[in-house]
Amino acid sequence: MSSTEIPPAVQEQLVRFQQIQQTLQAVVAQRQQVEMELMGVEKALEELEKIDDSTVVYKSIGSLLIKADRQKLIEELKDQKELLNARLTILNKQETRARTQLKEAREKLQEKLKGVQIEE
Amino acid sequence: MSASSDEEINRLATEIQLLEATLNVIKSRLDMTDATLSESQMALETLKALESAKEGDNILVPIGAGSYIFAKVESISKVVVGVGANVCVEKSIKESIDMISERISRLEQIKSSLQQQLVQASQKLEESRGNLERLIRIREAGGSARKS
Repeated sequence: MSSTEIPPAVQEQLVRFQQIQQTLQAVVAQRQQVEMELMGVEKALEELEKIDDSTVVYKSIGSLLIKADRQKLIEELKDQKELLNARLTILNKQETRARTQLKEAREKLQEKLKGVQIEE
Repeated sequence: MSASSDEEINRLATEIQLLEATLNVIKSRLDMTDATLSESQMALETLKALESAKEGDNILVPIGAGSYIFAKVESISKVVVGVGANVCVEKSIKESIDMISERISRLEQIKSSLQQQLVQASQKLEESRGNLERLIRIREAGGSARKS
């Protein structure tokens, strides 16, 4: 079945469906990326809170390791965590909205396909 | 051909597209997990070897492309380990070995779960492809019968 055989209204709905599908995939990928970053930050915070100020800590910048202040790093990571959590909340909302839109677009597409005889 | 079977063909085609995208995501995560796992295993082996080394021992440090530079072990009491978010902490060899071993077992669990997901998604994809091919064959047979 080639795309030229599909009625224009159905084609339009199909394009809309595919666009929402792509948006959803992009949002899911971003959400997973943020979740992974958040896990890294939480793990690093946990490790930094287990040790005392006498333990030497470093921050990696490119391929270099720079000696860092433990307290400053903790503060930095806490800020980063807050920022990542805020981004995660936004992405979760975007994902929910995209899923709803996708469901609606699928229903509309199915409705348009009902009774449509696709040409041979 | 009925509209409902066209609808089913459409639904299956969309489902196949989604499953193919899911499979690609799982495969790329599996590749990433494998790479991290083998890096962690190499680090663990190196730490275990360092446990039996003495301070001042001559070693060759890899710098990439199969090349090495001469170096001496300065300390075997502590090493620097990455703990996430670009943060590294000095730890004893024993602590580092424990931490990396724990990381390896967690990665192995993730790998096994991803492999399971891959098998399930592949089976589902094969099933949907089979159903789509069957429906298309029926449709083609119907079309030929009408023409004759």
